[in-house]
Amino acid sequence: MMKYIFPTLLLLMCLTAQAQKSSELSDASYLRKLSLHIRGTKPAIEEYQELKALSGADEKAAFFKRKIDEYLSSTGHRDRMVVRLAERFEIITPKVSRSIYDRMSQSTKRRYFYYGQERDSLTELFAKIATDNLSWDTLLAGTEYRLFKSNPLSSDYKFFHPVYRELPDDLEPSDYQNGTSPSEFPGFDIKFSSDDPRIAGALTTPRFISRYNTTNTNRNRRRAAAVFRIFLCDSMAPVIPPPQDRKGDALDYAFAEESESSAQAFDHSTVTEKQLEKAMMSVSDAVRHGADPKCAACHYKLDPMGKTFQSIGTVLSPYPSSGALVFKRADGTMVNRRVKGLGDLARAIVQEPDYVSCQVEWFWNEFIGNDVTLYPDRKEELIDAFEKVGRRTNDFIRILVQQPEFRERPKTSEHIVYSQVRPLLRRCDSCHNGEGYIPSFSTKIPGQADLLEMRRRLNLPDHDREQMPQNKSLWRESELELLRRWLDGGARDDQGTPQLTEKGREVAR
Amino acid sequence: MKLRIVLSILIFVTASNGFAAMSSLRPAAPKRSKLDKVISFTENWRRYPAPDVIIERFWNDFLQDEAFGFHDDCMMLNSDNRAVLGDNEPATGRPVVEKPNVAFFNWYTTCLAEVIKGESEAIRSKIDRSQSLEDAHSNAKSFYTEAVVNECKLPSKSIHNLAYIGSLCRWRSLSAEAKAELVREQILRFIGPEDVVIDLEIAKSEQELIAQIIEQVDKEDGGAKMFQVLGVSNVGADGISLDHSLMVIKFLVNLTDHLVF
Repeated sequence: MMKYIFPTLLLLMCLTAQAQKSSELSDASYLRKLSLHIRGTKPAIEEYQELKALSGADEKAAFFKRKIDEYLSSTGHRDRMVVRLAERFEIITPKVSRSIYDRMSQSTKRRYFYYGQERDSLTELFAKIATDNLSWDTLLAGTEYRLFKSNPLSSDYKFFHPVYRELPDDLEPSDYQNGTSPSEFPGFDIKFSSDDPRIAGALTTPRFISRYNTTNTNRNRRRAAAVFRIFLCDSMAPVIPPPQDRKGDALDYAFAEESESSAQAFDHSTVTEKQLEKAMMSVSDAVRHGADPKCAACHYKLDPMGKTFQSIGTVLSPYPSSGALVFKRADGTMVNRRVKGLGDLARAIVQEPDYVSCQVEWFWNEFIGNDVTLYPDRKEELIDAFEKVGRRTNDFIRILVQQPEFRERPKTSEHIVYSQVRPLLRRCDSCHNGEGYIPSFSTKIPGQADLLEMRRRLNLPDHDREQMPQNKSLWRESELELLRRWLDGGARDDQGTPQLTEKGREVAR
Repeated sequence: MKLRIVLSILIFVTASNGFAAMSSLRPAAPKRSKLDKVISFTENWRRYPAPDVIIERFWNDFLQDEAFGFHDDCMMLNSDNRAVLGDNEPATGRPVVEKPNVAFFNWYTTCLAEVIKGESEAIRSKIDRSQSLEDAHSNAKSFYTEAVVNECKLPSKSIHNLAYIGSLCRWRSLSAEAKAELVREQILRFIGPEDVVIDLEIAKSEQELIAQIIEQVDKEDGGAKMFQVLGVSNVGADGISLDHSLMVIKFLVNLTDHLVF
């Protein structure tokens, strides 16, 4: 008997090993992925040759460890992090990376960069977090800056001067006109006390402040919404229509009276920004933006935080504005904490478990990919790892790129599976947060009845008030099409098993 | 496999038939190809190379010499190419277009052709500036491979002749081994070793990819369709030069690699 069992077991083990091996990238592909993801460039031929010459597993592990360290200390990593964070903060990315700029000849620099490279306190903070392996919290709660005046988009000098009077006038790159290279302006370092209530990392930089300066009515709420989006992963999507959107909810509320009195639907497409502002100021309290219960779902969080931005204009105020950090945590408990200024707000946020969870998720999306599901138990493991390394940026990236998911081959499937639509469903969760009868969509696949309801509402015509998503202009038709195809294909989980059975679909028909 | 897709896109782009090029990337529903999932600027699929990475590749992967001129549109992000390359629009935080479209491929092929031509000039200049004949020989071998340099018949082994080996030598005069060596070198340089070629599903083996590329360059030797894109005219009666064949090889290899990031 044993003579049959043993070879069968051996064969099974071999097959399992083979299956495991085939789901993993080869050593060369892993090296390529590490290099591309961390520093944006491919490995050199010599690096492949060095890897090929290694035979033992320990030798290879040591090689990869060395390479990860090398890539994390490269200028390419710094430049990639600047772009990643610029995208996260929704600001314009640099024309070229700093390393490319440094390689340009003087004549090319002069031709295309009149003011020198677009360096400013915010992008410099992004770069410093990567180069110095700083705690990720520095992004929100840091109190040190390197200032430049060369950027025409925003002047660090003007912004910080009211609170830092010792700034020298020579931040002005006047000597550039005399033939000095713009890259020779090193910037000027300033440092505030670590408990200064007025100072909050990226939030108190002219780039961040000027990013949300478009409407007088809402700019501080927009800034607060950005803080919720970036640091607490709360998308705020239902109430923040893009500026070009003339059919958003805000308009519905602002022009509710006109809409109701008119027999036909009110034509939002003709509304100008001026008209909108006027209407916002004149409509009755019941329909005023923020007073409606639907708006209040977000405004209870936005308005108290928005107040902490009140004293900031084109310059940093010497006096902090009081406000509050108010929101409901993922575990359902309420946070309601009074803060004295943005610095105080930042330090309150970084202590929140939702902040840690959100940041870990951001790292996952950037380095593993948001089409790979981050399951709750894996997230907990990674949160522990994030805390263990003192939230230091590069140390955590080093951990992430050694996770098995990083080395897995991209899964290909004939069907659309849950992880492909999950990033889309996450947008629904700002309203569909699992409270009451409204199910959450992105944490787990909803039940059969909810899936059927989702499908029905997705397919309703545009004028139907039950149609989902409600703010349809924020969605692309192809994204909605992907959701429909997922549902039509049986709402398959990541293993390809349909969650919407044929019987359920029959009932719906 | 992927090379065929690349070629079909290329043919469509050169024929300025944008919709055809797009449809080759996005097969009709409900059948989904792997490309449908991989290529996207948006968040719901795996991210296509970010605009700054695409730009940096031109700087990092090719030998450049600013003396031969830079096309600013290929060397930095500007208001004209940001949207085409899938840069996030600050107002919405999302790219204007979802997928690389015909405008992207027009931009990419034009710029790729530009940097490849720039590299040819830079190589020639570098060999010409060699301090000794040995240096020139070693430089020529590093760019054209040892097999090719040994096989090319030059009027005499001078630094100047070595600098012009790319135009003096003909593709069709090379042996099959030298051709394969030349293509292998470019695959290694721009894509990686065979494991990467297989993992990225570019071809079943390095050998298969080499054979496909050689077959295509041989076709170009007669018809020269791709030179429209590369902006090369006056292909001689004795076939395309080594430099021109190398341009086609680099072009194909890079385009193949770019699609499967």
